[in-house]
Amino acid sequence: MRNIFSEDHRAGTVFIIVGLALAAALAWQGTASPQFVLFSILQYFATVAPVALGLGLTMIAREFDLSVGSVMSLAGCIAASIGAADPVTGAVAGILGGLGIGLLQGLIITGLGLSSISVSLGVLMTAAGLAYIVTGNLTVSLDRPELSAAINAPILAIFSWRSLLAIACVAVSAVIFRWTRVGVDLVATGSDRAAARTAGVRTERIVVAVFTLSGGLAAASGVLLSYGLSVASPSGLTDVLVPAISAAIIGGVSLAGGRGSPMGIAFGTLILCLLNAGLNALGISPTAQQVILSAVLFAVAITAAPRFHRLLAR
Amino acid sequence: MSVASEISPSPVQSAKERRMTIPSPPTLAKLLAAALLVGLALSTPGFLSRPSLTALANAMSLVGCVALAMTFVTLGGNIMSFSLGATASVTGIIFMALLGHGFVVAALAAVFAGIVITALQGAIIGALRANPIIVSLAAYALLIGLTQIVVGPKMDAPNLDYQFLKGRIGGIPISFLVFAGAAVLAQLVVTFTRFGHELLLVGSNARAAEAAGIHVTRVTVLAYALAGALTAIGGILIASRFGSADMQTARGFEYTAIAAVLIGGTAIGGGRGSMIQTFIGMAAIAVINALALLQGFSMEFQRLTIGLAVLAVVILQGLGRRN
Repeated sequence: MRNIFSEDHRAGTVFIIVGLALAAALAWQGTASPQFVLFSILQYFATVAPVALGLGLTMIAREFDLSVGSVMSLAGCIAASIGAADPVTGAVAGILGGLGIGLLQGLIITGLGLSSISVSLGVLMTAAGLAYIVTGNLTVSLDRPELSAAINAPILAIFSWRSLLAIACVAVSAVIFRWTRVGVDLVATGSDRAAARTAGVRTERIVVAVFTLSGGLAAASGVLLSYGLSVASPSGLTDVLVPAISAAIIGGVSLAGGRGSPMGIAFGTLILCLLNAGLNALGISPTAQQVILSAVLFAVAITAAPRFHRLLAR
Repeated sequence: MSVASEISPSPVQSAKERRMTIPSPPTLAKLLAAALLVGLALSTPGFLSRPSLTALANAMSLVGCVALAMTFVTLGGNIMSFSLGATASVTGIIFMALLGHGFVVAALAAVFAGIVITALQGAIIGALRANPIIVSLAAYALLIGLTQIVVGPKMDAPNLDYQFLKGRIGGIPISFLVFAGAAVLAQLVVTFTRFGHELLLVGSNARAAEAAGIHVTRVTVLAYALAGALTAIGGILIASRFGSADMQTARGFEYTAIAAVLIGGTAIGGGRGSMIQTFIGMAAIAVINALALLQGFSMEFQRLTIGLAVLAVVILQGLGRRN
């Protein structure tokens, strides 16, 4: 969170204010019990946070993983196809698939010195194709109502297994980022790669690790989502990208690399979740919510642009 | 790990290597792929029949216009736009909504709307140097949401004024003639106008182009405006094909379009490529799809094949740059 209030992220503060205002509106409305509101906020958090975390970590390393959306749906499809017979194997297969795709992607990017946007664009389309093949272009349903009920059942009133796992992902990566050399190396890789390499940082290893993690986290989110919903479908490529990118940038990750932290990304996701919950409480239709969320991303894209502040200064 | 760091060159090294341009692996791969496609096409029974070729020409012209639009975006160094498929849908809906006022009015309005939608993004990207991927993703989501609120699920044609677009001249589908004509015109713009030269310069190095006195913002806005016009032409063709317009028919067109651009050999980083190459890339994709269909492969394999082809092209382009 250390960068969120820094000068070049004034946008972040604006969104915090908007988020808190909506939270106030939510409390004012008071139709649902506070526990339930917190629970539903955390459920949305569980879907977006791992994806935003993976994508955000690649952005800190000054790379960009476009493929998270399709890796998420591919892992969900794999898990749902296998998981009907054996949920554990399904989950493991889905997550391993995501890790494998991420590892391969990282190796291609660092091994050949390619731009990550172009490689992950190719991976996005390939993984989407794989998802269509796994499911045979159909929506796969998992006939295990007890499993999805267990995954989404409230624990301690506001948590569920799904949200606890997402929180655990964030916590583990935050600890690693904050208390080990990996965090420093990651930021160094993102801010000045040549200097970092001269200083002895194994930048290739960092980039490969970050992409592997990004694939694994997206896959985990996809597996849990499809288990929670009891269905998986191969479509929906870019739908998770919009909230994930918004969350990462609101949370203080810079597109220029070298800035941001797991806690910041989690915080950004939480603000988006609050916004979502506030809009829900105000009774705004899902379509209008989509418009508002994409307008948020538009605002994020504009305020994060390199020349935005020059425009204001004029 | 030491092995991996030996394989990957430092930026200084790769810049040095770039001077020696003998892109033999990509050229070889391209020739091989082309030979393979032609061989498969000739050996597949029914491929060269008239209905099959007509279907092929029809199939490639709809996405093809969007692919030409994408080429303007890619050439200018902005990689790709995620909003072109949604723009095609929206312009198709506008075309159908205004068809009651006559074909010309409806078509002009659709093209104008396409230009406004994309030129606005171009202005944000050009003037603020905003990230083109993120801006276009936001525009994609915004377009889909807004259209759902304003229009509803579907817009049917009020009359049959559009029907002539489904016809043929001398056995060739009109939509294909429109696509081919658009490709030639767009190529003329890139090759023979000052804007075209500036676009390639901005695409290869925006900072250097700016230092050389090129108005980067204006070039970017113009490139996006042209992309919008071409996308709208695609949208009109799509709406005419189906006799109605909604947000679903052109869904995902941006992926096929960028695939056509890359398979054609336009550099993903911008600055190098052409409309004719995109035309060839589009034809290759259409041939792959038609062959897969004739050989009895399902739709799903087409997606995977095209995804793998894009991945292969990206990797080969990187290898070619290094050699």
